[in-house]
Amino acid sequence: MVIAEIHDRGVDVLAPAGRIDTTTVAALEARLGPLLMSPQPRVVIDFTGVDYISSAGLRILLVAARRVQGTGGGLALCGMGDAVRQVFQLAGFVPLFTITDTRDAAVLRLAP
Amino acid sequence: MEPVETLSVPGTLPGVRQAIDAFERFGQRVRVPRRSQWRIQLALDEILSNIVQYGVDDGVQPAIDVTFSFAGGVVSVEIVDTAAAFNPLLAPPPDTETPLERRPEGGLGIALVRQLMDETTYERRGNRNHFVMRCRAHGDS
Repeated sequence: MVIAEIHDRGVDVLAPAGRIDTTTVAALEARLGPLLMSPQPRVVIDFTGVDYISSAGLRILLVAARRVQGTGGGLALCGMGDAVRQVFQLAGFVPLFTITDTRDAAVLRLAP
Repeated sequence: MEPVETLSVPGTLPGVRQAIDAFERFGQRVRVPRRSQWRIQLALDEILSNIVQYGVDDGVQPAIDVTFSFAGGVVSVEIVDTAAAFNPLLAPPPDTETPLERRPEGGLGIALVRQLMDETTYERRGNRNHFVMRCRAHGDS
């Protein structure tokens, strides 16, 4: 899985491409892990290039959201297409995350 | 003639990948609408991953046979495996209310499958699990 990484206004942005499923989730986890180790992680995941996400992907997002809670940092998700958005809705994940349409809006929410 | 494809994959993560890729090609070949295509790929991933993660018995990986068919506007996927008896349909419904701190991480996959598919059935026959899921092709492409 190709994952672009951008630093924008003090925020780390990860933009994975393809499907986030059991066979690809380890790659995303490997990139996300170090960013979450920072004392105050500010991380945006841009789903623009993501075809769909499976429960394996949802699980690492849940863990990531718990990790940033109470740090003063944040996690925001953006650019979800229909398939990703529907999975979030079915899983009841929408209320757990900051979700924006555009990457710019997500970065602005988290920028220090 | 109704398009049907059967393949056998090992009960490993590369086996899961192989089955998902095969369904992707099948869906393109028989023109399954895109909105149904991702639903079935995702459901296939969830069911196979479950077998691979929990179905290894004494270090022996289960063997998995998958059959895809598309007839009458309905995509059917049958998954037969040699893992221990496990009926995914008996799993509890997902917890979609609990706040982040206490939200459970397990059970999400099966819950998604039940919501994404129009019909799911499970049967234990001899020493094999037979799981069938069906999804009406959503007419969008």
